[in-house]
Amino acid sequence: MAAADSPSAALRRDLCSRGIRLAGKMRADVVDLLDAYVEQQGLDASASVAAVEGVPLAAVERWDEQTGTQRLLENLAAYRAFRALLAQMLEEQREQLGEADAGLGRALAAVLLQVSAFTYHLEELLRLESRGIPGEEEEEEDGPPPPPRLSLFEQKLRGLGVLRELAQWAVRSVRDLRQLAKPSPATGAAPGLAESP
Amino acid sequence: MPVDNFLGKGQLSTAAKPWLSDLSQLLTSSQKDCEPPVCIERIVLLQEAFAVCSWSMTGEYEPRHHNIRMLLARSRPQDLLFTSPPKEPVLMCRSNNYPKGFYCSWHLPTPTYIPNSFNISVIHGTKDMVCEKDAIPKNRCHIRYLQLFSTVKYKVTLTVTNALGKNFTTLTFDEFAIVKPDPPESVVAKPVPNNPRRLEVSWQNPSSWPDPESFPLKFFLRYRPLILDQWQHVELSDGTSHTITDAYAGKEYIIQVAAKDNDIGTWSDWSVAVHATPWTEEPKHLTTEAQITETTSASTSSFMAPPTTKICDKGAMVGSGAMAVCWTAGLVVAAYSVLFI
Repeated sequence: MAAADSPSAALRRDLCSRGIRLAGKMRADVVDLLDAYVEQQGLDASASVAAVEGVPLAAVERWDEQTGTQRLLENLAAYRAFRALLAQMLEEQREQLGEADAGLGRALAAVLLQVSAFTYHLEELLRLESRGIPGEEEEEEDGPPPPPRLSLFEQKLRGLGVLRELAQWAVRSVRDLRQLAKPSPATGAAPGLAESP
Repeated sequence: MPVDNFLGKGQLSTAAKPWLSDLSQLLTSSQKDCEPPVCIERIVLLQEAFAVCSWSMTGEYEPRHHNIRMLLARSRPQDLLFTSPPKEPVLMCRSNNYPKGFYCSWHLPTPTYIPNSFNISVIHGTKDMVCEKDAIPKNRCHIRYLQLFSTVKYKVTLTVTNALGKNFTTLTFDEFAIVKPDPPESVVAKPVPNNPRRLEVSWQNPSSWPDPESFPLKFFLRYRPLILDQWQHVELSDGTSHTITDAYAGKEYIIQVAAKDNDIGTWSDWSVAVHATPWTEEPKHLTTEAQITETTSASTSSFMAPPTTKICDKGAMVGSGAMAVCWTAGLVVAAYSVLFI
């Protein structure tokens, strides 16, 4: 007979479940946004975009070996970066097109809102584990200096790269949260984040 | 008797074709397949022509002269196999064991009738990856994922070469796009006792899917009575069982299940079909009052009324006089009447 879950384990599982739903919805909206973005920016959907500085890559080696803490921290860093990148895209969009493409602007804003909500959700999970949440100011100090202003075409390509990576991150986040929600095989309670998955 | 001589450079007959001149390559390839004493002479077939190659008394393998018209007259058209350079191969890549890796398999659309060699290369971004050939089947190799969640595409190039030429094909895809599980296994459909419109269906995750807990599958169930062509569909986001509640009573059903990763990729092929018929009530035989009284217990001396009369209360009587009937008895009689219509 499995041991009863502790309250914090049950809360973590609940937060993970909600996070999975958030990430799933976010991914669906990002995929739709990506299609609209490609069409309205006149881009080729199959174009390869080189990794752009500042865009967090979802690709990871030995994903199955990551600890819970690593997963949460990497997710948090990524979505904070996406929050800033999407805000920048929204601003550029408004400068370029004004009100001419309000639909795309609204879709971008909606995704930005979801990214912000998911970021907060990740912070909640970290707080639950009494882990210190890395300050954003700290990260910015260590981060690279702001890149020079890009041309219009470069902005469009970077936007494509941002949305593609965000879509991948949304899938990765669902997988990460499923790993976090797994009960520990020994006690039946959810594992501590410092433990291996 | 003049003999048509079409072999060798500078000795082409009117029946010869210009491309016969490059015979040395063909000799090399055909010699490997002709070992004395099992094989003494081999007819190397080209497009629309022949070269007869055989072992001489001095142990050399060389082309011989031959009469084409005689050979063609002796042969049935269907026996003439024309060797050819390879056509563009057909290549397919798929991940049925995500996130472990993926495999690629290939074949030629038409046979060449001479040995072919295949070479496959896999590139992920700038990185070359090794595709390990499977022992069985021979036209397949597999690759382990070194990274997950990458936006960089995979590029697979397959080159096929034989003595007469080469060809190739290239496939480019995303990590997620080729994810396609194998069909669900052990599909079972059973009737539900006392439920004429229900069927209970259960199945298992495909055994090739390595981690269904971390990478859960969702399922698509389809079912129809054998007598109809139209399928009913149900999509199930979790669990490996489902109860059909709208089956037609007494009709045999055919049921299949497909699987897909919850988040990425495409649906599997349909599972093996299973058949089931919903539960039906056994027809009951009518009994006379005498038979009922015979079977009732004889332990008491007083008469025991048959069951149908026991369920009647005085307050539930309908009608009056000799035709008075209680509600419940009336329902029983009505039910039996419907059964025998």
